[in-house]
Amino acid sequence: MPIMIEELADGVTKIVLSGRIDVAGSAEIDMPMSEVGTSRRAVIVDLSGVTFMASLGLRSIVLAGKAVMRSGGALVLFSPQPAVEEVITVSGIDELFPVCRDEASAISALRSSPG
Amino acid sequence: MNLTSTLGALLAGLGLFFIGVRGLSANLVPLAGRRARAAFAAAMRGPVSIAFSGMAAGLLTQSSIAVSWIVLGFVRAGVLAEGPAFMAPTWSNVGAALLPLLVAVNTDLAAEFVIGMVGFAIYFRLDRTDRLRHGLEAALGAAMLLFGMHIVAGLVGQLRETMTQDHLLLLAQHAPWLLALIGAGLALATQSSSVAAALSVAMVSAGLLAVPGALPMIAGANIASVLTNLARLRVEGIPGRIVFTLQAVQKLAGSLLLAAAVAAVALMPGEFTAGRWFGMAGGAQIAVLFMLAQLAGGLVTAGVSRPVAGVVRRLTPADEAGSLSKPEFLLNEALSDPTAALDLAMRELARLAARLPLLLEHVRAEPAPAVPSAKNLRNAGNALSAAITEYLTGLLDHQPHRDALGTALLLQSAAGNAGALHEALAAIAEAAPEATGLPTAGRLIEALHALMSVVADYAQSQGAEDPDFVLDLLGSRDRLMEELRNRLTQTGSATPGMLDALFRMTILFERVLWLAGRLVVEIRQAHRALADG
Repeated sequence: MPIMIEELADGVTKIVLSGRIDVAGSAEIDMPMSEVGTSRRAVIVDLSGVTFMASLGLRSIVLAGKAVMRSGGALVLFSPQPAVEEVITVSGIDELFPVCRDEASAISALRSSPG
Repeated sequence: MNLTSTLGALLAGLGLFFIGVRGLSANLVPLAGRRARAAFAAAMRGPVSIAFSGMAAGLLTQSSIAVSWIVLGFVRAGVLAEGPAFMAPTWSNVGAALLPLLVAVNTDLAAEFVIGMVGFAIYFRLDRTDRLRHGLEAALGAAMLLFGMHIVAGLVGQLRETMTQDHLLLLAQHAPWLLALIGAGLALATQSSSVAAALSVAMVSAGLLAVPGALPMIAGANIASVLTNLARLRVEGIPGRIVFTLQAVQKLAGSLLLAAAVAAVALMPGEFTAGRWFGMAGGAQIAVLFMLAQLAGGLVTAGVSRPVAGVVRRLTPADEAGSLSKPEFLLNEALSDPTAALDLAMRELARLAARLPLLLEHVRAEPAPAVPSAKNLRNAGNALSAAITEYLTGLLDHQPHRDALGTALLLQSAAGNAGALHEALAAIAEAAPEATGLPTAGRLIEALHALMSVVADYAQSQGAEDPDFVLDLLGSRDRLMEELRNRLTQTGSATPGMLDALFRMTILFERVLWLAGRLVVEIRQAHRALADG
């Protein structure tokens, strides 16, 4: 399963993605990401285990993040591998959702976000 | 005057003639403005009105190609239904065949007066509006055409003497195949059998050729038109193939009539000498025969148009681009209700924008199956964009109130941007395979595909959603792309071809984001205007 969801302290939800988020991977993460997006207000996404991110995976992140933002919350990404970071930067997703080095700075970014 | 200067003057006369033909057609087509086009479309209700409308359009534009594009444009825009209207370009060949008749009439004096008057009008800047300028330039084109023929005719006497001395004319007169080849060559070079026929008429009027010599020339020109029409089939969808096949059938039938005339003249040479045919001069005989060939060809084609269209449809492989370029929402009947028409145009625009991510599908890491090629999507996208623009032009012709007018212009601009996005994305898809060895190229494609999916989603909402989120994603990447390019130049393993392809992709990427941003803003503004209206 390329997705795991953990509840952290202070209402923070951590999504851990792993492996190839390709067509098959995206199909598996789509629904859980959507559920988190519509029900949580503070979300961090661990990308350290993701080796490939296809367009559909980016789309899942964008839609989940959009839903979180709509309810006044925030979503932060952290620890992407260089190849995944490049696709996130080129797609401009980092303009909407901050990309941090590690989990601690992601939680910190979440606290300082306007949402 | 020696042979060289005679040939020089002859060349000048022919040059003036060709400039005149082009000037006439180039200025008459824009003169046939929106209203004339709308009237043309409205007139095509039955076979007879289609025939007369087609002839009038051919006469006015002097170009069956222009008429073909106009009719195909109407069909693609949903203004005209497929079927009987496809005969209009065939009939336009009859109208265009009036050009040789015009040359057959001695209009030198009229040409001189027209050139004089147009010259004065241009010098004293009377061509203030576009319409007046096109009108004057069309008149100048017609006059130059006739004046060019006048020069040619004046030189022919000397040329005939020289050619007779050198036995060239005698050789040509007795070699109908050579004359047919000359006629075919002229038609292929000018892309118009009427122009070749007009030259034949001028040669007969000036005594350079007799009627029996000119007949193979116009027959050759007509046969060449069969070939030029067939050559267009290669690049056309089903409607275009039907239109050009019908014209090829017309030209073939007309050519058979002309071939019969060539045979008749060979068997009974005395019957076709000047002055024997209803008192007509030789040039007029050729002009009338050419027009009769178009008319007879048109009648034959009208009789077989349905089976011919059926055969074309059966023989044409599934026309993916054709069906993709067909509007689904643009109902002509709604044009009298601006609100309904604008709503339909918005739906069609959303349908067009929904295809944006598909243009990159075949160059993604894991392409989805059964997606049309980027080339087909681009062609269909351009056609659909043009159809939306044309539909909204039709709405503007109904002179809607100011708010509807503003919304129509916004949607026209958005349709243009959607078409330009199709072009840019197809260009990226074309460049991507050359940069396959560079991982960054793949990431660029995945990122752009995700962005276009977001834009497509926004278009599906028809502007109802807040655009800020999408616009933030579409922010400028100038600096990022510049950094990417600088980094790539230091990559040792990339070939110059790969680097060049990736450079092109980064530049196109920036253009796509800019166009997509404008599209989103225009859809939003159009949505607001429609909601307020």
